[in-house]
Amino acid sequence: MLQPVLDVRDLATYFFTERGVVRAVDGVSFRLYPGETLGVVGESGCGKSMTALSIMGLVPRPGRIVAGEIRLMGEDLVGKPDRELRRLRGSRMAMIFQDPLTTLNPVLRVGQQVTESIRIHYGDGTWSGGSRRWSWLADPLGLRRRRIAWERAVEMLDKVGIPAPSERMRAYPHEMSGGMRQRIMIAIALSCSPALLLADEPTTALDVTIQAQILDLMRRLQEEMGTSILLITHDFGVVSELCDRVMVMYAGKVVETGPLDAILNTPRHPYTQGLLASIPRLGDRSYRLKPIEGTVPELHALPPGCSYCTRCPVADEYCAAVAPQLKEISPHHHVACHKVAAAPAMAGEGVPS
Amino acid sequence: MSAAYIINRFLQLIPVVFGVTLVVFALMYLTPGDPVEVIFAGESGATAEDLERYRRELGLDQPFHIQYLRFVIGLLQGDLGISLVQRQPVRDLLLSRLPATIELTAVAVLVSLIIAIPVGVVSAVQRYSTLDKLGTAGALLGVSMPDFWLGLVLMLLFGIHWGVLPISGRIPWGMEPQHITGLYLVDSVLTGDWPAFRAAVRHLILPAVTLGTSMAALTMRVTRSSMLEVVHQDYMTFARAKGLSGTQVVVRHGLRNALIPTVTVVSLNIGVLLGGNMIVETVFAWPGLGRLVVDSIYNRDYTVVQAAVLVYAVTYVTMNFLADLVYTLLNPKVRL
Ligand SMILES: Nc1ncnc2c1ncn2[C@@H]1O[C@H](COP(=O)(O)OP(=O)(O)OP(=O)(O)O)[C@@H](O)[C@H]1O
Ligand SMILES: [Mg+2]
Repeated sequence: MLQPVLDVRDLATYFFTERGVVRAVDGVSFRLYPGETLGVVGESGCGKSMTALSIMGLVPRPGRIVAGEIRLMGEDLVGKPDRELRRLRGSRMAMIFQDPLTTLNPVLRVGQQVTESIRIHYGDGTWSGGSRRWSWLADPLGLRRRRIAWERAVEMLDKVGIPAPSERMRAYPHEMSGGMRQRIMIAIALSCSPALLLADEPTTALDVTIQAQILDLMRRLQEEMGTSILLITHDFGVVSELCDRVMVMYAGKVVETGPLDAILNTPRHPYTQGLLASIPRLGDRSYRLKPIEGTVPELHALPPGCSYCTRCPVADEYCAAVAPQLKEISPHHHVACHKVAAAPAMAGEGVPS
Repeated sequence: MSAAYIINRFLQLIPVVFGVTLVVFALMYLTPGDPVEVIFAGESGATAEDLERYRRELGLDQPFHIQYLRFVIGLLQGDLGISLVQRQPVRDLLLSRLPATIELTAVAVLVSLIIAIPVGVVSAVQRYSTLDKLGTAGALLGVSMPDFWLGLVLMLLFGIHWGVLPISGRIPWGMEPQHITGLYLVDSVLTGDWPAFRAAVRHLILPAVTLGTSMAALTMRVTRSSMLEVVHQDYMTFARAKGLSGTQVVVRHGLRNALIPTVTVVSLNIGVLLGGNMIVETVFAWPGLGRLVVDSIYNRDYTVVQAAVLVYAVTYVTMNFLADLVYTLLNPKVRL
């Protein structure tokens, strides 16, 4: 059996606020295999970003990981000192964010920002392009390191489709278009050939045509470099373009997970069904948006049973009292719902492309 | 930033400076009290005709616009007039006092930056920590304490109670280093005159700390608040995600952004301080511009006051201009 690139088990990340403990991520488990793309979907605030930040070890205060394991290529990251995590960030695992305008530093030139992670990881043994430990002896002023980082950065810009890459190295982020900036961010993230890429809504801030280009780019680079991707998004269109498997989150928990096809065509959890029903369909003029009624419960005051029971059309007292566990209902398709038998699949409901 | 932008911005200064000369002149013209009477005060035996003749000689009998025109023409030739009391060119008087003020300002600013920027940055990064609380409380104290009060307290403690530091003047009489720039620290280093250097430093400490405290407090607060905004920016998280350490992120990515407002505030403040701080210079008998102005006001030495106000205004406007330039240098988005 293939070793997973990422193996997350019972991850719990809580925020300790004055109003109480916010369970942003509450017992999430999943695996990501080499070259695979796992989509993470769910409404705003369900803990998608915090799951990714937990993996990076960058949960902001007052949050912290309270339980669970995060194994990156077999190595548990939880509780590792920051110094050791730093070696892995940017080299073995990388992350890209939603808005490239605010994610790139406005006062530094693009070249500086792209070479930065290469220079940091050059020679620390994590980047295959870098040499080993004592390399600084042969290069005391870091000139070679700088030159290699520069060349690698230009190569990366070229790879992500930036025209005239050597010249663009000297530009500032605000001198580029949104799509270009997102390409730069991808170039930075992939510059040390990470095994894992965490992409937090990488296309949400872009307009539709640019979105398609960025998705194409990500697919192409993934094939080329074999990176595993955890793709966070609100958009089932993006999911259907890129993902092999999908994980649906609600209030810090995984409620349904399975192969792309199963989730899109035979969703079993009432929440997943609700999400899919709320997607506007192209070409269907009579289509009316059916948003899920109600709002996400406050994460510091969750009901004892199923978190979704307050909005669920089929919930009963049992749902409100006892939390459902994930169970496998068909190969690789897991659902956490007491009513799975009672929640029929929405037959024939595809996703717009 | 293009040369055209700088030139353009510089040309904009001209009408401002021109306006300043008009206001300064008008104020002095309208101030009650006759300069000629000041000159002859105490000189018994001057008759009314003597005064009248003297007025004519100074051109004080002319209408406003003629007097103003003469004033401006004089300025353009570098002539700031003659001190009514000391009977020497105002320009020489100002120039002789300028180095003392520049030296005090430079050291005060340096002291304030060395304290304020690290404290401001650390307070923001470690928000709500003990250091943040101390820093914030200190800053509040610093801005609330009036300069004259702080100056007097320091003087009492260090000068009189413990007797470890001198409390007045720039240097003991006769110890002045050979005159090169007029800045004692620089001159004494250039000539290798270490006793003078030591003495000059000791004399600078109390006035510079007094002057630097309120500025440090202000700078610290500006730095802290802009850093607080910066630490939550996405690019800071992204930099961490690249593998940089917390300190590297703050220094390489945070400071450049956070210091943009700080630099602006500090440059404007330098403009104010360079005018000479009348209170601190008076408290510590510091022979700078501020003291000169205070003395001249007491003596009703109008031409000196007039020229000094003009110098203040021009310095302020110039620092404003420089602050703009530095701002555009630091912030590539406004590079024109
Ligand atoms: N600084 C914080 N203090 C307290 N709670 C927080 C903090 N940051 C996040 N949370 C909690 O963590 C939960 C999960 O946040 P997260 O950012 O992971 O949501 P998300 O699924 O990424 O949403 P979005 O789609 O809007 O990005 C939020 O509901 C919020 O209550
Ligand atoms: Mg998010």
